[in-house]
Amino acid sequence: MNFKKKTILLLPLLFTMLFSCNGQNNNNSSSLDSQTEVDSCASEPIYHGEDIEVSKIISNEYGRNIEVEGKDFIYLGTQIRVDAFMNCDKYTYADVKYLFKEAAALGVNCIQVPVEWSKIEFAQDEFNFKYVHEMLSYANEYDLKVEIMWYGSNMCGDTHSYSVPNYILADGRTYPKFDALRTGEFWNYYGILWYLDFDHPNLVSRETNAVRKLMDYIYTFDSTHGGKKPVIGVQIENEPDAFPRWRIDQYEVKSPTTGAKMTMEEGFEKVCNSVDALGKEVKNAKYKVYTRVNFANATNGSVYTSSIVNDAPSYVKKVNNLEGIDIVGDDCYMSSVRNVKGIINMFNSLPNNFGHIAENAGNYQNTPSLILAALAQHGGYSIYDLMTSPFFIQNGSGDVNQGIIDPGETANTFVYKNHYEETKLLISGLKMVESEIYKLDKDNVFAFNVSSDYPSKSKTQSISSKHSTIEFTTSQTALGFGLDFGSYIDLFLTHDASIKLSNGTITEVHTDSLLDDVFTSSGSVTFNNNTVNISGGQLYRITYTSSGPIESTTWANIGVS
Amino acid sequence: MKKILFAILPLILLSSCKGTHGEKTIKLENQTVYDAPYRYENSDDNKARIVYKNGVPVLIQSASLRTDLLKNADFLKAAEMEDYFAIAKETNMNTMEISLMWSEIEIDKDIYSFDELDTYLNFAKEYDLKLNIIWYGSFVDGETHTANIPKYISENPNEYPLIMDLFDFANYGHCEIIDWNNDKLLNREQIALYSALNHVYEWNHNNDNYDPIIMVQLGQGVDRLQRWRVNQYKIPGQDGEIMSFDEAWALSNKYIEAMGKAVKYSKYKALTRSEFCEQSAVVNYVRNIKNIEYVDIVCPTYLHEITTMKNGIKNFVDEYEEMPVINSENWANDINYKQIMVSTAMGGSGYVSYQLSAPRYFPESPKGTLYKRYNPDGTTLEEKFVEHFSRATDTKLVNGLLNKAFVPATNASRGNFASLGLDSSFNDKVGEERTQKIYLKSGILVDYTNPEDVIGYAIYDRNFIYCTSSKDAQLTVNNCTATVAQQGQFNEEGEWESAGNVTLENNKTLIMEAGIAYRIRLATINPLPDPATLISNQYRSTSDSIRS
Repeated sequence: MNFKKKTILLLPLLFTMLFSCNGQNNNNSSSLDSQTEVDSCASEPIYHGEDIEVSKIISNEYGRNIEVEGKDFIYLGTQIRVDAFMNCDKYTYADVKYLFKEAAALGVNCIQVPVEWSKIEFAQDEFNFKYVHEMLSYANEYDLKVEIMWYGSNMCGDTHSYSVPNYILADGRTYPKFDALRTGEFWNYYGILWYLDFDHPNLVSRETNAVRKLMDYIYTFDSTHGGKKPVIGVQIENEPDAFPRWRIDQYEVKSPTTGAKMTMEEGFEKVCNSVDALGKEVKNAKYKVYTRVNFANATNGSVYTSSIVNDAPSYVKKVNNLEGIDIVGDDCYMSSVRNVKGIINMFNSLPNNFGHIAENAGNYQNTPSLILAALAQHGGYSIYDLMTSPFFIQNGSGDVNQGIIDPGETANTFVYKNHYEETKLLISGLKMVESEIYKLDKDNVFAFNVSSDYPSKSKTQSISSKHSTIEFTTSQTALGFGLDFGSYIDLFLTHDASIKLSNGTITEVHTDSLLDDVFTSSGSVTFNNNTVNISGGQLYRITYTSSGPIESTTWANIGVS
Repeated sequence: MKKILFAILPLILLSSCKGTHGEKTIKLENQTVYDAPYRYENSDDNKARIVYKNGVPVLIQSASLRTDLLKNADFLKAAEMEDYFAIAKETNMNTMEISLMWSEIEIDKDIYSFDELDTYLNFAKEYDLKLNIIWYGSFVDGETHTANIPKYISENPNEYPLIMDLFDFANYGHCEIIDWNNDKLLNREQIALYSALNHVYEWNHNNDNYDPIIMVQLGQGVDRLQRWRVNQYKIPGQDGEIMSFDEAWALSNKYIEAMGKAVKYSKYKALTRSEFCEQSAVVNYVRNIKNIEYVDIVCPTYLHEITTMKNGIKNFVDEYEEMPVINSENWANDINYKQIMVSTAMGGSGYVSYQLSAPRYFPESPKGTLYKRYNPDGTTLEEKFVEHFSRATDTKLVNGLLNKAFVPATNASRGNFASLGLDSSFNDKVGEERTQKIYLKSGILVDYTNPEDVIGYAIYDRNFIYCTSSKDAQLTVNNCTATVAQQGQFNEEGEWESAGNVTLENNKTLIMEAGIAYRIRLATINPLPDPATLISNQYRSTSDSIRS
């Protein structure tokens, strides 16, 4: 080897050593990017850059509802706080998967699953979608639809270090934070608390970029995993209204412009700017889904004035009017059937909105009554939550356990609360009428045995739609619903009961299933004197001839006593 | 020959990357080349106080500067922090608390750089300030923040194992609980602190023995591990169960002892202190830490109200008759100036306003800073630092008043230190009813015409009453024989410098001008009247004259 060759060999060595001196980490970030990892389940792409319309909000003469892949979608969900299970309880993906299975077993058709910004962007522009991949794979496996809950800069009015990438939090010059009490403190649920300047252009740019990457990944995932379209919607942040409504006062948050305590108006402006930008990013994606925002008990318990449902608060209207947000819902945390009824109507009165309960505690024993009240009013309902994080339960206040399921001794064992089976049964009935429940006036929806917060064991109740009157009698705590289309009623009760129809004459009664608007009879049912004995857990179609229009009393029979 | 050259060249390049300071192995050895410049002793009035080597007492009036955050959040070098030292001086501070990170002096394993420390020391000298070093090593508020420790530690968990790996912590790096039972870790950290103080000795030698550092705080919030973190994080103990409090205390105490030893073995033997979070009274864990061999002072902190301050300082003073009491952190809020006076009156020897000014890019707590964030566009110091409300003005005022009489303020025990204008029961009184009457334990009865929104003191020390008021007022001394009154103040050598005699009306009443310090010589002092007489004449004790 001559000298020149030696020089050639040594020069790269020297350069290598020089670079290794400067502390730069040259790790190849591509190994973190699940899009470049081998996915044994992935198939050839079926999408090729075209827009895929998955869901949207549609309207008819009776209101609005969610449509998924061209069909009405009954909004019956439960939330799975995967963030808590993984951050605090240290669940593995295998542990989390059991929860998806449990959600499917409960019978809901959609689940709300958080995606924390920090779990997809590990460092600036280093994206890793393994978490999302796992969540969507489980959803597909259990035939669940997913609403992604985007946990970004504003989680219940705070910024949490568990949810936001550290490169954002470490660079206050580029991504300013508000001055406030409590900043920098540790909360064992969520890490260190901060208040990022939610609508600062630098932050919005990075957060929308992450959302765009997420939506692109979902598109790619679905394209290569059978096109089952698991994601149907995106919740933008979580209860972002908590910031202006509570945090500013609680923690003396200062305005970056005035230096004085921030006004509520300024706080809302920042929140609105942020969620609007994020919502628009979702809506601009090729994978088209609806966006929504949930409020933290928007009514503060004030649902009615006398018997009239109040107007939605102005900030709810403001968010509802944002271009990037399709629908708004309430996390009401109320066990009052009457209040749930009122809130659905309040939110349905907003232009282009689909009223829904985005969260309500799953430990309410009257969850079936609450679900029925919401659905009977042309709304939707999601249970918070399927199972509360054991860590939250052990470290939180007494009422933090809001799951409809309790944790068992291990991550894959569960204890079902007393109302679990009843809830599951009602959900099974409601899902049978998915294709028609939003296709009629709520005045023609009977809701039985929900006049009080809890169903009576023995009850006789007479309710009128616009076409018929039904006298409902149970001695077995049955509750349920009937959808009156003028010539037939599709009816489901959770337990045995009898119904007697008046203002019309029954001509036929059948049981069995309804799928995509097609009723398949498994046989006729006898009836006598316009009276039918109903067995719990079955769908009935009662065909009748109406004697003419009458005044509906459906509203008056939900949550009145 | 060529082979040798090519083999050596990469090594040369490698070492040049690490910095200019040579690599050396350092051992902890007790150095005795220089006497401790600051020590503590009791005054004639039996008040524990800090004294400088020439015997002049030291009253610490300090503000906290989060140099760690100025670096980690504002991305400043020490050289860019000069204005902060200037404004501290402008606010009549005589001391600054700066956080010194292990990572900023040991930049790589065994590679030390003291350039940043030198800059702090140079600024201190330039602005006639002393420093208290808050040691930001592996133990800060019961956690380890990787921004504070060298990378060779944080990136080598096999050698320096963690008890828990926690979470990313923004400007503090990554948060974890390192195993402080690891002697190797403690030794590395000891050597770093020891080396820093040895370097201070060298700097001092080259700077006319300015003696820039009064004390070193060993860790930060040393009670946080036991009182908060163990339960917050469910930190496991050696048996795998949640760590017991005893085990946690043993860990932190071991750490404190190791760091204290590093200071006391160094060539520059600063005082050492340990501070707690919101510590308003001495309890057993405070006593345990005070019993650690290398800990001089244990400190109360965050005494949020006037009454809490009064009782908290009193508790520490009563417990430790021979230990100067330093309030090592207290929110620099709207009552900061009152807190300084109360702390000193109750027997404190030092007070730290937390904080001077918040880093520009780190959230500021509304609870307290004297100045708003630094304005780099300002051309004057006033424009660069705009105060929050009147906090800086008020603090500057009280610091100034106390500075003028720092010798009696550090000598007099609380029974002979009357703080004026801090009795809220006078708030709704008018005219002559506003005369505040206070008895001193020496027997002197002080009558102070009490204007609104005023602050001042009347201190008895070795045959003199020293007094001042932030507004024009009258002060009368009774139950004693006064001879002459002067205005003036103490100089740096601790000597009274008179600015001339002033009239003492009826041989007992002084007409005070705002902001002027006076002293009245007393020939005789009668015994303190009995309690019934004091009560009937509405005299209150010095403690009772502080009411929030």
